[in-house]
Amino acid sequence: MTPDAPTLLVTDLRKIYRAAPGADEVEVLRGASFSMDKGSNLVITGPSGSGKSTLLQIIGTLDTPTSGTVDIEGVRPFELDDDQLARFRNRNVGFIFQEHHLLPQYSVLENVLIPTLAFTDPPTGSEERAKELLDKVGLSHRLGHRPAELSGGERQRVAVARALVNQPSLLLCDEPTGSLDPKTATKISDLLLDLHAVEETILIVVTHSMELAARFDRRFDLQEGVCVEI
Amino acid sequence: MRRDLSYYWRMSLAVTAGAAVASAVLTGALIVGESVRGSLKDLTLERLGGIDHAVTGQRFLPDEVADRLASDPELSASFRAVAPAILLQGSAEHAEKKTRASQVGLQGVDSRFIEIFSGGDAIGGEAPDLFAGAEGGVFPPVVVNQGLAQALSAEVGDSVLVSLQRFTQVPSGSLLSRDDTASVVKTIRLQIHDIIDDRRLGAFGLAVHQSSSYNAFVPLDALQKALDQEGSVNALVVSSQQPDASPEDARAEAEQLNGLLQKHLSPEELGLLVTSRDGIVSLESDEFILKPAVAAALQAEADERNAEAMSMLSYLANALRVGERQVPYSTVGALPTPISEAFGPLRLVDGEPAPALDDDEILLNAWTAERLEAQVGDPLTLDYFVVGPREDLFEESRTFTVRGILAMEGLAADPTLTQEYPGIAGSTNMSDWDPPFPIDLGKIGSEDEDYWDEYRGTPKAFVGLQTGRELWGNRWGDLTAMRIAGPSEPGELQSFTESFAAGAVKRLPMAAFALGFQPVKALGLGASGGATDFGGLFIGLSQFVIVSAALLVSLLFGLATEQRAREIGLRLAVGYRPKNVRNMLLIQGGFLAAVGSLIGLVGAVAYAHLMMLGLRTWWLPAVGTSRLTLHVSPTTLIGGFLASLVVVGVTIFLTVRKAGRTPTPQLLRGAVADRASRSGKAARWTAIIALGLAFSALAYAFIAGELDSPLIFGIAGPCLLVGLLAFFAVWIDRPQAGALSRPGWGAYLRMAVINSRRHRGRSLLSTTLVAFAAFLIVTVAAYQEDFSDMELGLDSGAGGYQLVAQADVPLQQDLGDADGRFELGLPDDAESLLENTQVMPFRLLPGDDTSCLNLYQPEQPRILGVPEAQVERAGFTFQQVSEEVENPWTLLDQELEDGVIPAIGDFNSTQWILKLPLGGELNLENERGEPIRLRLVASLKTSVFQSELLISEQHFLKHFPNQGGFPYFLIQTPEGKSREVLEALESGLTSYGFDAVTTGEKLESFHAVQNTYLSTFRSLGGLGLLLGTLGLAVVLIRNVMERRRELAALRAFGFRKSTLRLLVLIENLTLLAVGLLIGTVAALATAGSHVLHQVSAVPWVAILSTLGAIFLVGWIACWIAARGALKAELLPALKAEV
Repeated sequence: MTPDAPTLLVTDLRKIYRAAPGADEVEVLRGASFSMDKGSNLVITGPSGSGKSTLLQIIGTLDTPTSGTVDIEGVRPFELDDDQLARFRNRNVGFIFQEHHLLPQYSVLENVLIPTLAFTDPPTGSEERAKELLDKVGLSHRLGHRPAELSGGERQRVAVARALVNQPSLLLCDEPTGSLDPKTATKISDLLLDLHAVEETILIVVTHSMELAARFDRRFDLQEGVCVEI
Repeated sequence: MRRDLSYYWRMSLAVTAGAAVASAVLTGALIVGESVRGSLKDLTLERLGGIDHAVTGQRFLPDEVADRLASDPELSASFRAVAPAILLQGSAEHAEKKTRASQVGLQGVDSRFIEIFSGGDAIGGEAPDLFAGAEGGVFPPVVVNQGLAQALSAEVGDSVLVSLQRFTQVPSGSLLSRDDTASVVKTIRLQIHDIIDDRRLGAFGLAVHQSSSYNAFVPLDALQKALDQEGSVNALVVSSQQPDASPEDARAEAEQLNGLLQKHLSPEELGLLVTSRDGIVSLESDEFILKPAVAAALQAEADERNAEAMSMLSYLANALRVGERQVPYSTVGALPTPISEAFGPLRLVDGEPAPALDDDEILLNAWTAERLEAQVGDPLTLDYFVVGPREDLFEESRTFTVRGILAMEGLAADPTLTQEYPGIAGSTNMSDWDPPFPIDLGKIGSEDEDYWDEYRGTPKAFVGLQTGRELWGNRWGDLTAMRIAGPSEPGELQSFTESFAAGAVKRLPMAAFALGFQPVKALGLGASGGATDFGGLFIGLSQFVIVSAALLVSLLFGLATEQRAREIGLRLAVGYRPKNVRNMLLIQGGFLAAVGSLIGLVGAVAYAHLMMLGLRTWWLPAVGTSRLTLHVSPTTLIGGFLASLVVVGVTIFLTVRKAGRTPTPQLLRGAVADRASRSGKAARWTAIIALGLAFSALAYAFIAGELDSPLIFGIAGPCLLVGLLAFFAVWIDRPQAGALSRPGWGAYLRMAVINSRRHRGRSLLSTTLVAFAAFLIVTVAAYQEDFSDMELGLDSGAGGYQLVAQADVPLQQDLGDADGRFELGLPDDAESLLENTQVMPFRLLPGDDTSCLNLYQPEQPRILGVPEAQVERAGFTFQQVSEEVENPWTLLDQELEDGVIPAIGDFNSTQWILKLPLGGELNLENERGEPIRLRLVASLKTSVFQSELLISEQHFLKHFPNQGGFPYFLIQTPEGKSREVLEALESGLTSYGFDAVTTGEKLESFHAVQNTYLSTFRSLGGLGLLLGTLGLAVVLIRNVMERRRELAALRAFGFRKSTLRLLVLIENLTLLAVGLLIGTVAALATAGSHVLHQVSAVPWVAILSTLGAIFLVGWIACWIAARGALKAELLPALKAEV
């Protein structure tokens, strides 16, 4: 990657689904293209079924495009094999979902550490970083607690810490405040933007919330698969 | 309900399948039991045909006795028919090929026998003419069954030589019996006329055993002629009007037959020789000795008639010696002195009546006194033979004082005081004597010949009756004759004699002549209940599988309920009463249980069929018959169906109850009650109690030295299993210390443990399933023994012997002695081999095999008389002893209460077949028909004596005196020569039907039965393992399905698919490993007594490889399940929420 090259480059992404062999094709994405530099942020809005989550998951390498490319820090992840792709995602992408997806059987600290256990060579100082992140999200006093013992907002804060534990270059959030009350949602969005700034990650958030969307530098609106920057 | 069940069809199907497995295993076990019982019943009916009662023994009776009985109206009122027969056992040899078979049943039969046999309801066939067209052959025709023909490689037209014990009235082993082979063995040549199959008549046999018999049938008259027993038979068979009589009715019928037989037998036919003259009735026996029971009956009859009776004993002295002078081979009479005048005068030469004699006094007749130049007061030495412990003769001497000289008149000149000894009586000259015992004819002089010419066997000396009894009494009796004083008028005397004899016969116990009718069919059918309750055994063997199936049903139904948790919650939320919801689930579960149990019945029949097939083929050595067939009755099917319905129904009820306790909001969230805290408390208590019991039992076993107690270990093992599982349940609930921090196997393992806790119930159930399977399989492996390479030393089950042998004709000679072998005709070239061979001969009372090789319940066990030499030699290992003594064999020599005989048996036989505990007693009758009780004073550990009970030879001879000779041998051969010795003895003693096997083979044959049960256990353990792994797989798949979002999130965080698979796999393999560990530890504790005291080596390799195999099977099952469950794309699970 050249010094001037963007950290994330999305070029003409298309995604076509076919519900079943022989069924009609549904074109969810119709050529999305954009680029983002380190430390920048972006919000994607649009009605349900417009392809927001699909776009996010393709960027996060959870899904593959029918055509088009994604470059993340000069790497084209879809050219990697399965294992390489998993490792790439583990080190470069942090996810926050509408549901927190905390594992109920583990403590708060263990949940944050989960991404570091995927490979036998985790970044050094993972546990310290996890604690530091939990401190940043205001949960340093809850390290040994189980998810069931936390409030909805606290759970989502743990999810934020978990997403950042491997110091990813991309932080992708899919409706991160969708299931929270407005007050808590505001707190979480504050937290996300603050940490994004501190960690200098690229932050992409998918949301229905115009209030949240208004706080981002850039906004894309997806209408029937067409991506329009507003 | 239909829509509910069809919507959740996968789970419905799984629950139904679980119920079907439980039903199949439970009902299958019942069917196996029923099949074994039914097959044994069929075999009994087949081998006996229409014969309901039989009497058979050593004594030959006129065959017309059958006609007398048949014409008796009392008999025809209750019985259909009577047939005479000769039933003997011997050995057969192909005349040309020299192939041999021992324990061959030789039957002399005529059409009456065949008609009775064929008339049995179970057979229903026409009476075949076995010997049609056989007339005119050079040798008597014989029809053999296929088994015998195959053993001899014989075909129709071939000649066979059948050797049998020669019938003789003289008790075998007594002074007057002959023991040379020609006198003991009768060999007849027969020509095979036909070969019949091994079924129906070919399966005939009175012995209660399921093994195929070798049978040969000869026309009755031809066999009578061949045996020199024209017109005589040794058996009568009877068919009853009530073939289905109850055992009690059958016994009453047998008693009735005994009464009838007694009524139709004359004194002569019972061997009673009755003569009368000069007002005296003389009674003797054709056996040359009056059995005590006979003497008692005669005395009682005399007492009844107030007739004076005089008991007598005559014996042959080898010499009467006074100083250097001697008179050889003289009869000595023992009479009650002084003699009553009623029996004739016995006067001294001075005319005075003979005085009463002290036990060291003797009277000489005048002729003898003159020969010996003996005077009153002179010492006289009397030399005579006695029979030694091995039927050998010893000369003993006793010195008397001459008390008086008898005039040669009256009793002193009565030659009838002496019986007509075989080989002596008919001789014109003494030098022509050919007695059964050794004599030196050179000692006989002309004066002796003169005495013989004038006085024949008239006693030359008399001693007191008591003295004679003490000196010459033996195991058969101590009197040779009895005289009764009767009327002096000849006509009256004749009538008195006849009346007395008839009265005496009525008093004679038929048992004393081995002439008691036995209700053979009722006994056989009674015994077909089996020594082992196969139904109970298989249910016992299957209980872990049944419990496993129930647990699997619980697991599956639990999962089904969890799957429907939201539905249940919704129903409750909208106002359904909990009772209605519970009933709905119960009805649906009950329906599935009923359908599954019903389907399981098909599986049960298939399972039982497979088991019976196994018993007929792979496990044939254990059951000894390929005739076990499937017997299925509606009662068993209904019973099995209901039992499995109850088992599965209760399981479902408990599962539904658990769902009913879940709060509705929790149900609406899709979860069923987590009763960790409640059940955790129960688990803690269960663990404490069960582990406490287990460790207490083990500690007691070690401290009290009860390391050989299977009971203690049998308690400790299962307690340990339950306790460890409960402990695991407690442990899995405990918070895990420390946090996940470092990636790698340690973290994955901890994650697995933590994940297992999420669905504690599921994890516990699947662990329990695996633990049960491991428990069963490892227990089986630990009990496996291999004798093939075992050192059979003195303390082994072989007692240091290499061969065990049995002869159809008992040997009178000492096989361990060169003279004995010479007399038996063993070739000289075998002598060098046999001279260093030690032979321990045992007396044997034939009876039912008490080993596990006999599927029938033994009624009259085989009994061995243990010689004193074996007691001194000791050896073998004892499992139990009634009192601690240095040599437990000496316990056999104890004198217990009257009628109680100390006995030793093999532990396996006494414990499991005879159900006779240490100190327990077995009620039997001795040869005289007197009740005796065999008390178990010790039991042997895994020995060659599993087919019989052991009593001392001394007790044996006292109670079974007529079992002469030695038919059973243990043989210690020179090292490495056992096979050569075996061949030398078998070929040299063919006519005796000598059959030897190595002790290792003998132990292996018993062990084959244990192996069979272990194989069955193993198969059932395998089935349990299948259920366990199925449970694990179900839990795994279910867990993965429930955790799809969680797994998808992990995937999003960068976890590889392979890592996720590994995580899931480790989680289940942890449960598998824990289950295996718990099951193994408990199994080893259960088998602890066996492992610690195992006669053969502990099969650690088998145990470890079995464990390895279980783990591998579990691993493969989990791997397949994990791979299948994670094959589907996980990411849609994340997407679904957007």
